[in-house]
Amino acid sequence: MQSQKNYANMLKWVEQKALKLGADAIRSVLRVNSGFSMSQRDDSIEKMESSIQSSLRVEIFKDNRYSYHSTNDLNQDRLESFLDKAVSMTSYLEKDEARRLPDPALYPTSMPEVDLDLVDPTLSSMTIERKKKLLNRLVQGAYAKNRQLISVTGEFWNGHSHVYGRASNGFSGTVERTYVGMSVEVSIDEPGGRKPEDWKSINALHFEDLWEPEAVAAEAVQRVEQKLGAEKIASGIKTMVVENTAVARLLYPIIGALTGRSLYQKRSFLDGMMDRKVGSDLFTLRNDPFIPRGLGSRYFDEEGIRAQKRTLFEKGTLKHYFIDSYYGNKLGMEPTSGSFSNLILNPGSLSPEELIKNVSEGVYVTQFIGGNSNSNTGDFSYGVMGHEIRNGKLVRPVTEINISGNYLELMKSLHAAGNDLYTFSSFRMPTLVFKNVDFAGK
Amino acid sequence: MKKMTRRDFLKAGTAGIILAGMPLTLSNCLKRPGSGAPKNLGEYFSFFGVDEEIIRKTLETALSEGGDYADLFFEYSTGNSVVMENDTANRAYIESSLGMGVRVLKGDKTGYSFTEEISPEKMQSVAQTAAKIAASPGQKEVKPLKERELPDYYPIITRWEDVSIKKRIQMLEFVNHEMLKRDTRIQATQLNFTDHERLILIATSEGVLAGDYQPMTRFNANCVAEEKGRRENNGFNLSARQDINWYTRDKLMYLAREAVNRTVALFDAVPAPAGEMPVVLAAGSAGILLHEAIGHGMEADFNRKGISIFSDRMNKKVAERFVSIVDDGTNLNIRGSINVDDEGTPGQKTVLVENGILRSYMHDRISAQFYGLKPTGNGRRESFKYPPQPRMRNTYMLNGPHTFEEIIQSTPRGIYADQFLNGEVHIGAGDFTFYVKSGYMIENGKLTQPVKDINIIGNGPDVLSKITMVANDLKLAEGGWTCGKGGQSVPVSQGIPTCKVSSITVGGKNI
Repeated sequence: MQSQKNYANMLKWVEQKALKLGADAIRSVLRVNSGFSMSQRDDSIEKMESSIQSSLRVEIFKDNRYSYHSTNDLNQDRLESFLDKAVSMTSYLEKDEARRLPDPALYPTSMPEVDLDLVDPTLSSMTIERKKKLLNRLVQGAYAKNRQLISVTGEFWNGHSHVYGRASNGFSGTVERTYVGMSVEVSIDEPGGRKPEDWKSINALHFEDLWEPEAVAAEAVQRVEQKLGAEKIASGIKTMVVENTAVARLLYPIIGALTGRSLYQKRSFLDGMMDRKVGSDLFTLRNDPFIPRGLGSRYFDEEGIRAQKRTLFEKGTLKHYFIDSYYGNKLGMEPTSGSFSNLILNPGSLSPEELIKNVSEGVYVTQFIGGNSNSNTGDFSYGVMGHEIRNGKLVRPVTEINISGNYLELMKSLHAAGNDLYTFSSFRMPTLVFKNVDFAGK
Repeated sequence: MKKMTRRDFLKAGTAGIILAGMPLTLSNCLKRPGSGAPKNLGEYFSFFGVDEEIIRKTLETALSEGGDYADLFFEYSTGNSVVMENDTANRAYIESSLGMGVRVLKGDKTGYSFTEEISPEKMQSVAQTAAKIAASPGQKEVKPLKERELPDYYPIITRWEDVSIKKRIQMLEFVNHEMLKRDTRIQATQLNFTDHERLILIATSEGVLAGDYQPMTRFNANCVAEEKGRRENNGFNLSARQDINWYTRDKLMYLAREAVNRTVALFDAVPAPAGEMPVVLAAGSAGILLHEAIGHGMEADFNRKGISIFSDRMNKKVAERFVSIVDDGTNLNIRGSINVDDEGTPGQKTVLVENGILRSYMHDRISAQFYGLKPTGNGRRESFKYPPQPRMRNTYMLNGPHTFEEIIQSTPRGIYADQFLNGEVHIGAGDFTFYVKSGYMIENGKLTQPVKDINIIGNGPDVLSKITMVANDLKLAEGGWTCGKGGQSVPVSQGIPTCKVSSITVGGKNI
């Protein structure tokens, strides 16, 4: 494997070459990742995979024309011919004045003040034997909780990645990060032939931030046990409590509606909503790139634009879109960044249990299955699983039901948020309570 | 980052999310086969720069720690995607990727490693890594290598690498123009033309040698229309293992027409009512029901582990006598067809349900060995970066005894679902969903009010048993469907004749 300095030099070489071949500007990104994963099903190792992979992406700007090329073949002779083709091909595309590198004033100017702590130096020396032991504890941990499980599969993975970025108008940056995680999937038999399954998966940048394997296993087992005997409930308008781990999937289309791309394409239900109140007072959503060890933390984005904290919705009022430099040029808007880092929805003061206690009739949703949404109108429809709530108590597991509604109404119907921000995701969400949701069942 | 999942899902190409980019130029490095697909194994060898000797040595190393079986998978893939957004073809994404993976099996244990640099030294090194899974004494012999004769289910005339970018842009411009002139309500268009080529060479310790050239193309046309201040978007896409000659003028006009019609039709549509009701599935992509309700549950890895809801139902009745379902890799030029799977088994047709009786799972090598059966050609992988797993190809239901008219007339109140975006299943519990972009209400035996944006949820075996009518108008999906499982995506297709599910839960409004 080449040294870090070699990789940085390679990008410099790529840039010089492309400019010489006739490009007006170039942005290039080189990713090198080494990864390992291992799984164990019941008592024996099922799969072991290891790899080193690299990829080079170059974006060529020439006469306001643009194209994007990627390859995993880093041989220098062949890269030269790769660049030659990339530059000459760009000439065949149509001109677009908005295609240019970001204003260099948007690039980071000094060394960052925060240490994001993205690398766990202990991971590289962790032996396979130790990983096997963790994996075995994960699987046995599940069986220790419930002997009736019909299958338990645990997985452990870790890796280390380097990303080198460079733009010909003055950006150069490197990001190094490690990652590690484990998951366990469990299945159980139920009279009647159903074999409900569930899983628990946690990711982190540092090993010490993971849970003990037994705790991961216990969570998975508890989740699957709670599915036993699940049934449909009657259709109706009810309160919906969404578990913190499931919130990301529900709210993701709102992020899609905030992007410059969807605004420019006229397919966003949040088009024209800037500074308007679209959510309840509790709907405060922030993008924070600077959380140490955060899964989405970063110093700069894909274009090299320096990271900044932003509030997207302030007490229900829309404050920022995700605008990259291209769509910023198209829309005549200031670029913010085209993507999110860590998203945080403001937590409340009550625990999930207390939130549930306050619901007289509703559903506690622990999982979404399938469904989709209409990006123009904000209408959505999703399958859900979870528990029926009656008089503040979870009374029975439910499945095979759908919810449907509209995001503009859903954001307004946010009634309470829990104190339980979920940190094993770049969506750091608390448990949420929404009023008046349409449920379809029997 | 890796994610563990047994939530297996299917997505339509029309969902409008941009491809991270697909591959235009062939890598410059390798010796290119002449025009057309490589004609013999020698061309694959020279393309990847290997010979029998190197292959044999690598297989021997792979078995050196006591493995039962090993295979090598060489892959070169390249793809191009040209995007037209609001009338300008202003970007192209070109990707290429090359590598080889070594898999070693010991019982049902898998060791896997890959390299992006195909050299004898690197191949030795990844073979050593993969070999370690076995860690037991004794060494199996590598059998004499012999080329496997393969059929050709996707003959093409012109390779994509021989098609100019100009030609691609002309097609985008033509479709865009056709869309804009069809309806003055169109406010914005997004078109994406992609083509993809995959060259694979497989060598196994049991002596199988097979090479395949797999072309693919997809053309997505999406638009946004506005009426009285309300906007709607929708689209249509075509996909097949085809070449440029497939895109006739008529086909491109059809694409434009469908994209526009499906979008403006949404202005008349309302949400569906909530609750259980009969659902009639239109012939074609509604085969998504089969993919989710039974397809994933019939993949033998889940059954071998006893964790599919279909695990205990082999040779039992699961549906009415007129219900027969197959998974087929042999349909001419269809997206999910394969001449050979990614572990060397020839593409074939597998009967999953015959006259209502469950007949066969879909096998890869590991599961076939477990059951003492022959693999069914379902061992597929996304790329050289992954080991294969049992996957679907083209999954469809055969024609039944009823007609479209009889089915609609027999339904006093229900939903007719005709356009689909995505689906998902939990294979143990059997619960599955599919998302209906558009359809109609059925009232008193007639199609009436258009409806849209509805999720439908049911349980696999329950819904199969509730298929009460099947028409004689089988159609395969025309669009580009992609199936995700265990973090790997593969192209698939599906199909179904018009059929009726007597009761299933429709996500809608409580009135």
